[in-house]
Amino acid sequence: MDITNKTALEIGQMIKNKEVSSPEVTKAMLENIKSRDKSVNAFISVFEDEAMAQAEKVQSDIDKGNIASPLAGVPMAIKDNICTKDRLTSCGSKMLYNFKPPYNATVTDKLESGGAIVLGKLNMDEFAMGGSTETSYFGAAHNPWDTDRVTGGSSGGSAASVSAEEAIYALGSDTGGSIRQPCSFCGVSGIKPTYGGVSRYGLVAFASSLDQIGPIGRDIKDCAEVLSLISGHDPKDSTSVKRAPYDFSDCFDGNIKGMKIGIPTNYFGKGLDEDVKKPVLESAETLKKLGAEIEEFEMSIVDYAIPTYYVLACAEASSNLSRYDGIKYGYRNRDCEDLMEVYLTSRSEGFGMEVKRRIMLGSFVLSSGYYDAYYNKSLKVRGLIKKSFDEAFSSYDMILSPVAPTVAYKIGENSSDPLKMYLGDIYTVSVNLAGIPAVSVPCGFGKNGMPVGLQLIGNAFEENKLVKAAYAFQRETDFHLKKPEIALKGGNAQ
Amino acid sequence: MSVQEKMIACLAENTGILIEGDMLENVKTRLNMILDLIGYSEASETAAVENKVVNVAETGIDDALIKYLEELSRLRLTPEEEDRAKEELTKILMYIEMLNELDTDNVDAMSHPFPYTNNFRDDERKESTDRELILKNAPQQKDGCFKVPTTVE
Repeated sequence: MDITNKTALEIGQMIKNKEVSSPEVTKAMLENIKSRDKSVNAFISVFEDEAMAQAEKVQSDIDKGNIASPLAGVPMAIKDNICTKDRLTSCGSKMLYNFKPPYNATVTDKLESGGAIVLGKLNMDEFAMGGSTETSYFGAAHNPWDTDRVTGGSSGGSAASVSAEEAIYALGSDTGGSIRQPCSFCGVSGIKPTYGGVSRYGLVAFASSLDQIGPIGRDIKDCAEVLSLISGHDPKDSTSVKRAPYDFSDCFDGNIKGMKIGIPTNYFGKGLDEDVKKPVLESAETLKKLGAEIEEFEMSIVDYAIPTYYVLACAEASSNLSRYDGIKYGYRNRDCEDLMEVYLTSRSEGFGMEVKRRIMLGSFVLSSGYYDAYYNKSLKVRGLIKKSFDEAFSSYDMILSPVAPTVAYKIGENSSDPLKMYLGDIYTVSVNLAGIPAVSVPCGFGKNGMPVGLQLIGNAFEENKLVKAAYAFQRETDFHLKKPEIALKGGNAQ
Repeated sequence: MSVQEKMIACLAENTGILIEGDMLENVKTRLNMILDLIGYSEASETAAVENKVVNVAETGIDDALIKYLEELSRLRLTPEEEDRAKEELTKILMYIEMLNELDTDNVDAMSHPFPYTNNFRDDERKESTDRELILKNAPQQKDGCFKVPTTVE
């Protein structure tokens, strides 16, 4: 029996039923990582001994009845911009190539107290800046469906690890689509929660008003379970909203009769590949068949989402990344004789080109003389985007759209043209600007066999509606059950 | 008025602390050291002011502006990187120009997704992180402190 291809909830149940033990599953996953990650490069670090020790300990806690979480004993992995105490947290950057944080992120604590087994840390675009996981200091991640292609990004390692069955589920982070787009490219499910739904304490900051941590899993039910485990107010993050953790227990009856779903026609215009358009529109038909009411509407403001996003995200990044000075932690050029040289050389040698480009763009839009024309203007457009979503949600329960305009492209194909790369974020960034939640679930395949994702966007803190619809969709379809070849061969028989 | 004089005047205005006589030169010298340390130069301020009149999306990013951005960002690019950055940033800024198609005169700037009020927690005494743990990641340390090159002769 292969246990590594089951969902997190199935494995959690099997552990409780004593059909399998946590150390057995953990060992099997570590074997998968060993045999597959050479071609996928989803992991930056693997904590083999620690994971086995943790599995033994969690198993004994489960046996004693000390842990009730349905995810207890299930092995998973964490994006490398989320702090893990005394274990490398590199952010995919040379700047943090040796950084071992003295504390855990709140989500890491929550996972561990729920009995999660942390297999390792996952590859990502440097400082989460990118959409392909090609800018990682530790080398590009490769799509399990076709290793010549990108995983998407920035949480490319997270999506690829789940897709290649090297982790049962994973945590990612989403600033402009970084959970949803790699989920679409790798054929797995993910949730970008409402801003403030999950604590950001211990998430290395990129753009603080947009960043959120969220789950990536084999189906939406796993994602929902992980999200309820990691969510809730945290006194250490003043932007985390004071409300109870999510409860999705009433979302799995498959009944979406009467649910109103809006399709913004602007999301289906020029620039959208037929390969993506077809399965996404077919998904709308599936949901209609299940009882949802589908209606088209206009939302022209989304055309302005990308410029707004890049101004604001870069502005916040230039400020957040000023902390990397080569003094307190991280990379430092040691040959400098004065302090300014330490700053300049450490930062110039520690950051990759995409990060430098964004810091400079951010410095520009915030500089005196340009602040009003760029930064302030973008804040106002952000207000317009939010208003458009508010209006849409007064008529619809959710919005249905593609996740990305294309399927996963070849490694190197877009990396020489930053603007072209940015345009790939067209369907995802407005969600972050408005602070609202969205899910990405597999909905089909392109002509070349690469997976396509469907995005459902909801109003603030209405994740339950999204989970309900995504669950009904997955109960009706089998796209999320399809496996890349790499996960079929070399599966670990028990 | 020099920046140092402005800072001293500002101090007097806001706090009523007057710095005069022998102290004045002393304080100016120290302010100079601090300004040096943070890499402030009047020349860069002037460059910024001159740049203001330029519509960058039309003229593109020139050498002076890219140098200024490097300085603001505490980065030093190679000449090849500078050329690439000029070209790419110009292209991106030209794209961003499309925001001007939108009338935002009566729109409030939105810096955060939700209207937040202060989110206070109880003021409880807790252990802070161990100094040794914090220093473990420092590239260089000495006597329980972060070590940096000599900054004041």
